Amino acid sequence: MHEHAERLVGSLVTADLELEREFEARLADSSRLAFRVAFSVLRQREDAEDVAQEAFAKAYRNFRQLRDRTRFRAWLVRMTWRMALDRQSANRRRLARELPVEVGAGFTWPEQGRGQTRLDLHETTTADVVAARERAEHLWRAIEALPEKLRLVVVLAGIEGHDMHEVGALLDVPEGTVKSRLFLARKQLEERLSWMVTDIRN
Amino acid sequence: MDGYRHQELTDETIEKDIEAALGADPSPGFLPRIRARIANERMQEGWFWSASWRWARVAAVVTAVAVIAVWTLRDPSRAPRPAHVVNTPPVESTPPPVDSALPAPALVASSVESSKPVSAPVARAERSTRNPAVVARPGVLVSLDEAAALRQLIGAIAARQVEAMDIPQLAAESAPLPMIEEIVLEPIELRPLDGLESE
Repeated sequence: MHEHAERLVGSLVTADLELEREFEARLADSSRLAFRVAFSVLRQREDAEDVAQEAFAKAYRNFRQLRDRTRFRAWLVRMTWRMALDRQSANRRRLARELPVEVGAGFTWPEQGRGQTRLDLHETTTADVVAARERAEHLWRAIEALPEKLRLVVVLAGIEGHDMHEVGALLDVPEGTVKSRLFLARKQLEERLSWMVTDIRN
Repeated sequence: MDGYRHQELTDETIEKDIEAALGADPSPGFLPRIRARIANERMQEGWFWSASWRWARVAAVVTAVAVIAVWTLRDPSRAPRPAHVVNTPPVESTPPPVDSALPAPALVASSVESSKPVSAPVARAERSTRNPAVVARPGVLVSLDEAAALRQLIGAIAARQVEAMDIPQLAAESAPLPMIEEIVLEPIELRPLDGLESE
């Protein structure tokens, strides 16, 4: 009886260790992906890292319940995406609350592409760098304006060179759906960007 | 400050720009921070598990106590309370003398008691039925007179004074069933009240 109990405890400990090792492997494999997914929404390194970290903590808590471990990346992507959107909404609400006070204190409303791609007009820099920033800013705005389904496909296809098949696996949709969504997304991006260019010319 | 102004917009250009925009890498401390966070989660989980085991132990002890309590209460060596369904003999009528040679009646009750509803709660009655020492017979089935007659009949059959095969025929001859009279109900007439009619 005692031997049986010991054996049972031993097997449980072994299973726990295996689970830990597996999670560590997944973490090493997918940390950059989670960060980039969060970054594609938040466009701020610190926020993106926070969100990715939260997503991994949540993933760890629920890792035992994940039946199909091969679907970890897809699960993580969806979770991170959702959490990043939540954080973005919270950030916007917070900024909206702080704005009246901050304007009075000489604060200028940041461009939508704040953070890494933020355009600071008082900064003295070369024309090329500013042009690149402006371009990136337009692109971000255009991506952000896309419907969520198209946006996610564009982001995942742009991260780590994912092909259609991989994006389909991450989103749990057929490859054909990914293709059509990507096509639609590019069309819409082209339209928006050309409209922006025309607007700037005028 | 010309952005896309002098560049042609093609799929390739856009794709390249998207890849460049999304090509950000996390800071070097990112992965260690996640690992630290996971370690923290693990500690919390360990606490959680130990707490859950503690609750499981408490639950096991409570269950054991409950089982022992139930076992003790059901022990027949302990004197159970008498069941309320046991009847008392009637006050106004004394039972007729019974032949002592005959076996004791299995079912004895008074007609007075039979008309009374059983006042004991169902649970108590059920508990009393569990103990065979307390409940050996059901409450009310036949009157004392009927029981005495039945005993006499059984005694006569045993003494071969009466042939059991002839009983149905004797019963048919001796006690013809009374005719059932038809019950006629008069129709009920509802009349309006005088005071209300005037209103």
